[in-house]
Amino acid sequence: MTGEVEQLLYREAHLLDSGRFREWLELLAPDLRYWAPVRAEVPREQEKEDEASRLPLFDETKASLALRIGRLDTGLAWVENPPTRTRRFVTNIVVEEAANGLVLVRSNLMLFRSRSFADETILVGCREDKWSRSGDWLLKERKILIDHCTVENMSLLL
Amino acid sequence: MTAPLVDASDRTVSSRVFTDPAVFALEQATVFSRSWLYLGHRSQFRGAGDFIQTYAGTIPLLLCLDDDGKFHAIANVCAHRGGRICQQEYGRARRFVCPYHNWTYDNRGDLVSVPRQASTGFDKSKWHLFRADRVATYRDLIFATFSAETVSLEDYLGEMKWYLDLLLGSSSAGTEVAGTHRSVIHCNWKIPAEQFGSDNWHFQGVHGSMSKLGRRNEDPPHEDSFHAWTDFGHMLICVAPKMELPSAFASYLNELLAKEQISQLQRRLLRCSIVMTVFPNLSLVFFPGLCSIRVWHPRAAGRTELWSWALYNRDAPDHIKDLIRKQVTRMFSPTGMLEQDDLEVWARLGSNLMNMPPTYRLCYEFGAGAESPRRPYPGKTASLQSDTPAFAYYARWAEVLAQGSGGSDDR
Repeated sequence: MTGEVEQLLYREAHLLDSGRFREWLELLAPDLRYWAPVRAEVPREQEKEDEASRLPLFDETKASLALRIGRLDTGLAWVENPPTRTRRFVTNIVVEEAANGLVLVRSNLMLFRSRSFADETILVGCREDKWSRSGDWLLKERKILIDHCTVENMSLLL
Repeated sequence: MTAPLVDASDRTVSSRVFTDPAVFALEQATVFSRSWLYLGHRSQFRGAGDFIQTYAGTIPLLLCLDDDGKFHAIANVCAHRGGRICQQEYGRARRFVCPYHNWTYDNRGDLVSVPRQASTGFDKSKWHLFRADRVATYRDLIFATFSAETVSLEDYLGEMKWYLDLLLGSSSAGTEVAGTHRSVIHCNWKIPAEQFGSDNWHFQGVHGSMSKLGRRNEDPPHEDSFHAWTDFGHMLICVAPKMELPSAFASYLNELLAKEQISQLQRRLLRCSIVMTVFPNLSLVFFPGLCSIRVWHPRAAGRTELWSWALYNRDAPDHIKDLIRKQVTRMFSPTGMLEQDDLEVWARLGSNLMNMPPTYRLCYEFGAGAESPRRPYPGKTASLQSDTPAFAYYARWAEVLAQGSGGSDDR
């Protein structure tokens, strides 16, 4: 199972790095929640306690992600025009089977993003996924804990 | 280098206004010292002893609520060696102990104890923290100024209060914020401040993707589509929709009208998009169903930190609060569908300006002659696309720069 999940995450990263966003959408469950809390410079317990009351960095559904991809397709979304060069490194994968055919997957992500001639950033975070495996693998929920309190402009997909 | 930074004769602004470290240092000593600076929102304080970290210009600051219900804006900078006395973004504390040598301050900024005090004649009262001259509140927005010469906050906001009341004054329960989104903008802080107060035009270009997706509903020739600007450098964009679409938020506005919490005229304008900048670096953006407070913190001539929050009435129903939180996140977080293209365009122009000769000047003369008829709203008004409010903002900026330092802290 762990090997299968690893391959799944690597394939997903490849789709995103290649700009194959429509194919990536097919990996998402219709009732997906895809979100990232903002970080705060406070003790760990308090950060956790206040997480729900803070405004998330993003909080998306499959439909809103499809809209974002449609936006890129207009050719007028300057954040990805010209497209950035990205490379995702997915590591530290831990897989745990849960009830209802769900698989919990924790992974670390390092995302290198290069735009213009020499403008480069690295984004680091941890992802907590819930994948459903009744039939094809489908992503039901992804929470991304980004390790940056102040963020650079981010295209979107983590 | 004799050309003025802001030249009224040809309505140009020097690129140095956005790039020169010397200009950046000068505006810290003048514009940020003499203006009323937005520091925080009342709802960020639950009780006495609460504090938040913020900035006043580049100065790292603590905004504290004391036991008497008074706010104090004190530098997070120890008077002894400059240590950071508070390490947390927000919390509750009545004493701040500098980790360097344990100098201890209260939440008014007074030095209360120094361990190993064996220095004869050492006068603790002399070594309070660097602090604001005055802190004042307007409709839950907390401001401070460092200059004793600055007019009162009410006078400073002037005619802009009418527009702030539109967004902040419809409930006696007041407003609350949720946040904090923080992002880096790779350009001078005045570029976004100018855009938010005076640039509806950019929507067509920067946010063309949203127009193409059918997400734009504007009627530029309408009487309720205008730019406004007021004394002290404040400015505003109001854009009427082609037609107001039925929505949960429109129903909420109708309820506020029925309960006479807003006037007919306010109801009329609240169908519009309203975006404003309060001089120098506070902006608010309102679309029906979306409202956000944004502060453009200057970090360096070519680097800005944006801190932003969602804003709604404290007693709004949950579905309205959820709607505003969601819309602010989707559109105006650093990953927002509007914000991310702004950030990109600003970064590219920021880099461009840094790389141009210091004699390079930018054009602010578009629509200069076309003063549109007066509207039933406060301030001076012009049609959309006019550079006049933006130029007025820079003219005010240059005027404050020329007044020199207004620092109140005489040490």
